[in-house]
Amino acid sequence: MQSLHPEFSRRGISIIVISFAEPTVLVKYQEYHKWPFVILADPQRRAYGTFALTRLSWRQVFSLATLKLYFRLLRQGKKHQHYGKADVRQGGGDFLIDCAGNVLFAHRSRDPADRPSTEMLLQEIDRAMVAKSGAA
Amino acid sequence: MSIIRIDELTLYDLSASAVALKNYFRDYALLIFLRHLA
Repeated sequence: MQSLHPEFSRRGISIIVISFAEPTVLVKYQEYHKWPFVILADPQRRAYGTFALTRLSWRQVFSLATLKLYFRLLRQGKKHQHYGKADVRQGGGDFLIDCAGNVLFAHRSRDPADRPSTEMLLQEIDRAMVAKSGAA
Repeated sequence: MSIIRIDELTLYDLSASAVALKNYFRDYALLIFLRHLA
């Protein structure tokens, strides 16, 4: 995602990362990851609710795809960083919105491994923006 | 296509100050909602 950040900027898209962690925890997270994006906190999960991001079932949390992902990350030597007790069942997602609040693209993850690739996101975003300009 | 009341969507920045989401982008925003931090 970070390497393709210019592709989003070129399209006039700001990337905003949202977490339900407390801001104090996000500070530590950002000190480690140093993401070049805006990171905002939603500890009450109001935005999560607005975008219909619900809690996953345990079956979804430990899906075969998720276990494969975790195994691949372990093999790559990635270490799990602890940021305190967290709700591992909260689902995530990706949404493209315009300044009027129209949701042009939505992806609600079915399990932890279900995140669109950056390339796929750009394709879907291009498609949504063409559709929107055609409808205007 | 659903519509979000963007003017009512308020989150917190890393200093725990309440912020209006619409102030962080001009035309389009890709919102990436994280699961738990890891």
